[in-house]
Amino acid sequence: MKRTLRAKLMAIFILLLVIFIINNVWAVLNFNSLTNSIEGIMEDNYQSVVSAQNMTNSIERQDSAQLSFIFTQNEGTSNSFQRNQIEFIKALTRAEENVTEPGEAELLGLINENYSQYINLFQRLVEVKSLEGNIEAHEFYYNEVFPLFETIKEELRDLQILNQEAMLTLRDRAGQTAMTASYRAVIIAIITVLGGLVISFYLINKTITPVYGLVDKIRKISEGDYSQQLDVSGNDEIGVLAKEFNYMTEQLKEYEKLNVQKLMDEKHKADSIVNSISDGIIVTDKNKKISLINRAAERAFEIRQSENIGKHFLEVINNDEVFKLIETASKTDLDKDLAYKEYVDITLGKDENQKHYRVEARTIHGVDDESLGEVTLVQDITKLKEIDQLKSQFVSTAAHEFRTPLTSISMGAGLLLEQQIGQLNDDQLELVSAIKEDEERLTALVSDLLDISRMESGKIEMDIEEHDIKEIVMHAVSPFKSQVEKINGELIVDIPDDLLKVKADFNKISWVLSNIVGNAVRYIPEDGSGKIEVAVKQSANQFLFSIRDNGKGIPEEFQDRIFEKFVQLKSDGVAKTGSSGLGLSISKEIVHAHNGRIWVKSKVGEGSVFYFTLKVAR
Amino acid sequence: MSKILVVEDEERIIKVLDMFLKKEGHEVIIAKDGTSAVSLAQESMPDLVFLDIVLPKLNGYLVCQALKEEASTNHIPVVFVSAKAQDEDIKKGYDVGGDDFLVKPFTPNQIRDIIKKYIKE
Repeated sequence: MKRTLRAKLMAIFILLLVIFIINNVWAVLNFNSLTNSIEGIMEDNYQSVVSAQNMTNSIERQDSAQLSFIFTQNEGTSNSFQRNQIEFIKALTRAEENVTEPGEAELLGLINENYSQYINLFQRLVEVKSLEGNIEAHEFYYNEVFPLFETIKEELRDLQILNQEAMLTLRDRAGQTAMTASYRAVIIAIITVLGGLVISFYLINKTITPVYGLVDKIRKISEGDYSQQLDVSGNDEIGVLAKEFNYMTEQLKEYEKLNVQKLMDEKHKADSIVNSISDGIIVTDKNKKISLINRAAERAFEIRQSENIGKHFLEVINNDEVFKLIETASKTDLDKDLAYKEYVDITLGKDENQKHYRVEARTIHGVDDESLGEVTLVQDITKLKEIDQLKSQFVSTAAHEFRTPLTSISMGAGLLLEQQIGQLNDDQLELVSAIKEDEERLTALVSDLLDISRMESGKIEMDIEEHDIKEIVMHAVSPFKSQVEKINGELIVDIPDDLLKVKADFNKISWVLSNIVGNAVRYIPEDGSGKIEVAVKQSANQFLFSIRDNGKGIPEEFQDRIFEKFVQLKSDGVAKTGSSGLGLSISKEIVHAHNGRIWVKSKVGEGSVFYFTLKVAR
Repeated sequence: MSKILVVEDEERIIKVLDMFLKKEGHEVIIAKDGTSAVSLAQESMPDLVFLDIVLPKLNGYLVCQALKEEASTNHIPVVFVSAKAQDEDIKKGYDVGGDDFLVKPFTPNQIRDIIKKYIKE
């Protein structure tokens, strides 16, 4: 991997550093050269000034030496003169080595020439003094030497001034140069800094811009758009990142495709399963809006899933009964353990296309147990209904067919027993009685069979009205009074006077009561201790009927089955006569048709209590 | 001596009824199908008709209707005697003008009671 992003940043940094160094070095060099040149020139001029002063001092001392030589005879003066002459020459030589200014050389030449002449004039003064005396010497000094001395001094002052002025000029020029240098330095610094900034800005921008693009596209990916791709230009870190990023989005896309594929597969699978189920399935959400209708349900209700998804259930299937069922199911959702078992049977279609359906509804629970809606199962029970009808038809036909031959048996046996046709002996009488008894049993059985098959197929209509309970009970029970009295038994009816009215079919409930009491009469002891107690209690919204007897009792294994068809208790292996085994089963149908419940509690040897409930009339 | 018309297609029932009614001292007329039942009734004017419902040619309901619509036979009591004895059958029997409904199988006493009820001596 090329680390060119780092290189780029380094380059920007180094560029700025180099600009900074160049600026500094340039400034230092400038400063140095300026100082050097000023110092060099100033030094020369200064030397020249010093030389001029030295020369002035020397020549003044020589002048003093000459004066003292004129007025005194001191040997020392000649020495002083010569010493200062050496000093002067030295200073002059130095000045001559340091010529810097225009005209300085000519001036020095003039000084040199005049000074040689001054030295010569001193020789002549010495000769004048020794030859012509002090006064002549004095005169010579004032006429010849002193003017020259003044001239030289003048010239030396000129030299000094020349160099001093040069120094001032130089100082001014140096100041100007320094100023210029400063300005230049500032301008160059500004230019280079600006240039550096522009270049850096450009480079940084170029480096950073792709990162913004990256941020943008990552946001889009997080929103689920996996088609994002970055330009893979350049092979710096950003380029590498872009490449990796593109690879990642590719992978994500693949992954998503795979996931979507998987989900689609699962959905297809579920759809296929749901659609292949022959029962109709309708799924509603919490707001009772349709979220699924399978093929069978589409056919049953003649609706299309595609047109009805999201619509309210009643908008699609205008069936209050079914909707009520769903609502009940959604409310029973708290008692999840008590499987909700209610159903309604509905009929759809017309005439020969008429179909019957049994509809059930269940709550759907999510993972964390909250209700997700309801599933409504629509089971086609047309076939079952048809079979049931066939069965009822068969039973009814069979029963009718039985009745015709039973008629001749009944009449024949009846006539024989009356002995009008002829006297019978005891054996014959017994045989004919047996025939008559079994004919009666068969007749009752046929009648019960017809009743129950009609009850089961719902053909018997309940004539439900408000009735006085006591009236029903007395109507049902009184026919048994004489029977019980015959065996010295007790038949007790215990009904409070202040009972509310009951909502029931008078004849049917009366039938149930007589059936149960009739059974009890058959089973109670015949030794005088037989006892049957009929009682009714009223609770908040229902009546509880109880019929207690002290018969043999019902073995536990029979207690559940006793309400089934043809289940009969046999005493000593023989069924008691006069019962078809259908009585309790018909009773159950009747009580259920009244929305009541019927059950039995019994203990062998102690007796039985039959209970059933009916609704209080409001 | 009263005249009783028995409309029935079942031989054995005809036999026991015929025997029984004659023993009881009645005159018995037998019709084995619906149409002959109507003509026999008009012809012999019985005091009572025992009428089966399931019959050849014309069913019992139609026979009863025919008798009750005809002014001459309108007064004759008609007792349906049938194995078909569901609520709706009985209701229909009364609807077409039947006077009573006897469910098969019946006993000698039931027949006696009916005769007593409709034929005043």
